[in-house]
Amino acid sequence: MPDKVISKSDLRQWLTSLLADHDVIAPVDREAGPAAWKDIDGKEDIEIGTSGLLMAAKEYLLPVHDVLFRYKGKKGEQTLESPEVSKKPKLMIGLRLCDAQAISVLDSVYLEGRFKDPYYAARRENLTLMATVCDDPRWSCFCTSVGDLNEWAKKVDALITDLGDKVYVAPVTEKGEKLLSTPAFKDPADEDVKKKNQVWENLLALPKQPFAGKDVSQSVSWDAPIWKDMADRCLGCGACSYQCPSCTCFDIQDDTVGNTIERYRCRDTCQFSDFTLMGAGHNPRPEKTMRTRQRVMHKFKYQIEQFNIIGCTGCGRCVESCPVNIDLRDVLSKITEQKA
Amino acid sequence: MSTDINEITKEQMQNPYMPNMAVVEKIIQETWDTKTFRAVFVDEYLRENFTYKPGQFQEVSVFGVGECTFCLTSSPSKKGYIEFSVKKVGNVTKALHELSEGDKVGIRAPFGNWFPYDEWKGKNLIFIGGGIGMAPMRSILNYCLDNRADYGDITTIYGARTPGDLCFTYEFDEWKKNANLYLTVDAGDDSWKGRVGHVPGCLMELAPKPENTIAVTCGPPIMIKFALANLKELGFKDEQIYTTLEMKMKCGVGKCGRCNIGKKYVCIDGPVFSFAQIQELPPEF
Amino acid sequence: MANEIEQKIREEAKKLLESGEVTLVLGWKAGSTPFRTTPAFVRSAEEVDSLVWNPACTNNLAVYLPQVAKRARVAVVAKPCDSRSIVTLIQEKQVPRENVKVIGISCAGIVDDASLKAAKIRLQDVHGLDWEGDSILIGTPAGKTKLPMADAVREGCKTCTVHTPVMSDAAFGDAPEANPAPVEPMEGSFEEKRAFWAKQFERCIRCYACRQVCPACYCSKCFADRPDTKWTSKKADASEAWMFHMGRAMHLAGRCIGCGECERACPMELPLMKLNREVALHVQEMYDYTPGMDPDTDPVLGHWEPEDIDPNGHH
Repeated sequence: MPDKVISKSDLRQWLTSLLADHDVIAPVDREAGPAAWKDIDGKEDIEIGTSGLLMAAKEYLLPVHDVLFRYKGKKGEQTLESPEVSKKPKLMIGLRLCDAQAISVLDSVYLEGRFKDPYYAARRENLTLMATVCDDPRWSCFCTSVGDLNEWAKKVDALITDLGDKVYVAPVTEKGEKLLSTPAFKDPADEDVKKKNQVWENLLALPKQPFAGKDVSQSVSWDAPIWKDMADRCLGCGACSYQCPSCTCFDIQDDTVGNTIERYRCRDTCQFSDFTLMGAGHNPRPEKTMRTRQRVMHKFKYQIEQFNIIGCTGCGRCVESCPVNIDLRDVLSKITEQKA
Repeated sequence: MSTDINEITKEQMQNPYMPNMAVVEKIIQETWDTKTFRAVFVDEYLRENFTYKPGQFQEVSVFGVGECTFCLTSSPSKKGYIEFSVKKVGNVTKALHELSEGDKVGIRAPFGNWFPYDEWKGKNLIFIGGGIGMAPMRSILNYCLDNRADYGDITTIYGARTPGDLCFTYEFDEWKKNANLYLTVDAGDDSWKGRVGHVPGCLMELAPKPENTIAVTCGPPIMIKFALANLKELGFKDEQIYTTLEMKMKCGVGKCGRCNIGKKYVCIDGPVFSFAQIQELPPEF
Repeated sequence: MANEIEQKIREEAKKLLESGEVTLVLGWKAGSTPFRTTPAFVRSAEEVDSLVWNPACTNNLAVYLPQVAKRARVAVVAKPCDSRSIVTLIQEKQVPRENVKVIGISCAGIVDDASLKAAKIRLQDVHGLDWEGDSILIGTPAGKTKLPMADAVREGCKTCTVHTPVMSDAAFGDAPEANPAPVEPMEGSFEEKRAFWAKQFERCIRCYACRQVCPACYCSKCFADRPDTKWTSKKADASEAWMFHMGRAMHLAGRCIGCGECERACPMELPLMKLNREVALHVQEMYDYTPGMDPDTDPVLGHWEPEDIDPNGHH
């Protein structure tokens, strides 16, 4: 199917019409803070541009509060109840290309191996991804230094480019094509194609970082001085990993709500000392140097060994959110420098 | 015994986060801070068909308080129930200690790998345990004793701080039958007539031969450290020595990330490791 | 303007390290971009030239003191607000006074990502930052842009009344004239305020950046992390976040010196300073107390006078 364009008002109408038999997940601005992912009801102002620090797509796939089951009923007769899951096909529109790539990382962790994660799988299955090509990369962006955007683009179902009053839509997969085969999508003018190509070229021209093209997993060493340098400054908060599109670690907790006990999972991070602290007091990673190392090693070494995928997509959220300016780009550059 | 564990718990495999309800049938006060719980699944099919392998672990829920990881301390050769030993250290273990017989818990199991007992057939086995570290070894020890003909000499060295800290005392007679049991305590009391001294020292006195022998050791890190050094001195190779690693776990299914060491997850790739395998891990356990 | 002071900071750091008076100097060094700096842990005289002083020196370095100055002598470069945090830590016996050498720097105001964005500056375009008189000077590709101080500085700086360190062993820079905007209590009824905060806390992801960056949050085990008492669960919803943030604000009563680091660190842009300022106003009103001014006084809530008013009106 050839590429299409659609006016922004038609796009909105199309999304609203899709709601009849689809769940549509789109970024919605809030009064403050990064735009949020929302299962929209058609009334919201959706935001498909990517200049804002949009929350990572994991906000939908791995909600910050994810109920595993509820334990309810009369005392002695309690039963376990799974939360309801929508069976409708889903469209996620407006995610950044780096976040689409991050979904591949999440897929590796949650769908591969001996166990499949049923909660993640339920949201992931039948999910169509329409990713936005960034027309105004942020100061923190370094996607082109960790991956090949042309490859990433093949993994989404359609690519969209914001052309101002209209949107350029390029279907990638059959699933994407099917969804787009409605008359609301028109053939693009030469000018539209040109503009779209320009946005793509601009994105690919993002300045490369000093570590680009080098194999971090081969350079990274267990007792590199960088861990101490990071640990000196790191304050041990979870901003980097909670905002990270490909960080997957979680905690499982019970809460009592009225007569119901809810078991849920929530974000957790290897940056907290409690993460590995055992009940009897033993902690295999008691030092901050160990924890800063774990985060980098996990993304740039362990996940490659496990799944043949880099656990980082260069989205820059950790760069922006670190309150002490530990910039992952500098860390990686130092790691590759030391070895070279 | 050859049934595939994955088949038995198909339902659980679909949602490995969903516990199965079980009734606490029996509670044994092992020591002042440790109890062993015997639980029976409420579901009849599960009660009859659930099986596991020595070394595997489970997640036990006290609903409203949370979940905690315990090794299956019973042997799969004993059918119809499972057992786990709980030392009171945190929230969930405290809540478990407050349970009475007849109360319900949630159980997710079995998880993790197991002792390669099939490969051990025909070999001598030596179990070296300290304190609550005897819990995971009790499963494999009893399993091997129940399949006595398959193995050579079976020797157990078990130590604790004081005589009152020894668990599973009611099974000591079984562990001596057609096998050797050496008990030792760091500090005896008036009634203690046995050996006084640390486990690694006891091991050196016995000086087992490494030929055709497998050593399994579980206990406090400091005990493992010295037991390991002594085993090496006796000529044991890393491939002949096994242990179970303890790491903080939540999900048990390789997703939540906290038991990650290098490219391994203790909950999936462990908890049983040979020391040869441990050498390949970053030193973070 | 910053250059001269930068030089003095380096000289002082060098002197302290060479004489062995301290083993570590905490300061700021160039960050990964011109609008950010990063904390510097300078352990030798050779490294002192990495130290910088510019309007992006936002981190309140007092946050590191409980870790590094309990058993070792360290020097710390401190803005006036940071010096007040140090006073609080000394008052609360977290850091022995004799272990800390304060290199105090007078400060006209600091910028951060949020304040630059609010001033309609594109972060990518910032090539350099400095002060000039009543202005912040921003180097951009199009040349230098001058912004009035009041438009460019962080929220906390706008109402700041203390432009000279309250405690220092060496002091540099001239105190600019303080021209603070008045601190106003939050407007609206109790219900309106409640609704406002409930809405804000919906965004909280419980990353604890606010707490970790705060020099007054030094508890070895935060009430929010205690699984035994469960004051608040880890659930990221507005009511649990409410408990955490309100609990934290209460713990900071009479202790928060208003540096604004919590608000800056929040990736979800929660207006936490609104909360802290509100509490500070109450403390000021009830006890006529401004936190972090004098290391020789007791913390206000760790001290009792017969004439103290009871907020509930009982005697």
